[in-house]
Amino acid sequence: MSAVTASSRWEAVGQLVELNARDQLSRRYGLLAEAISWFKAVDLFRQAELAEMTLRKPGPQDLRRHRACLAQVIAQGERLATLVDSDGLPANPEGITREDIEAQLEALYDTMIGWHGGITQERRQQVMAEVFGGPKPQT
Amino acid sequence: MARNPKLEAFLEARFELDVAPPGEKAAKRAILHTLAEELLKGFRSVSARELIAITEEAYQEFRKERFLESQRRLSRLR
Repeated sequence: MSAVTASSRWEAVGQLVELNARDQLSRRYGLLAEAISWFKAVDLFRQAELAEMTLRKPGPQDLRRHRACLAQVIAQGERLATLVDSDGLPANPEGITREDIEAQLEALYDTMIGWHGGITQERRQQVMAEVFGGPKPQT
Repeated sequence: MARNPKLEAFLEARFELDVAPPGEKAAKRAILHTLAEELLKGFRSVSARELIAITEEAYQEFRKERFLESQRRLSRLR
């Protein structure tokens, strides 16, 4: 993963989201294709997150890029969900439903709160101890 | 390495949601939420969303281990 720079990973996610947004506006490919493309953008985002935030310690710039990219992916998902609400998603062999889009969106919101929600270390330790028992458990 | 079975199961459910194909996301999220609700029985001050957020750090460690494990498996195959 080292040959690709951090900024290029985040930029790739941003470019795909922008391209998807343009296609969504022009209704170029239809809703199912838009949905599949959004799920791919989420996968690309998760790959960048793994490389830049999980496998190494993120710095302030990484945190900023992560939040910006995440916000873009969420915004596109929300637009997609709105279109699906009004037009419906055609039945498809992949079995993708409106509920799957919603579930993916919720997982992205979880990520936003987990990384950028401002939960204090004290609160984390308190809940970890209460729910999982003992001092902050190691996995 | 010390393991906490309840936390391990919770992180595993979140990982399953992350890697699930698009058509299985809703079902995997329902499993994660059911687990969260079971864990939170008796804890009125914590929501499922907050629990997921609070375990983010542990989840990233879990994800890292899974990735490194898959890399080791791949290198053994080569």
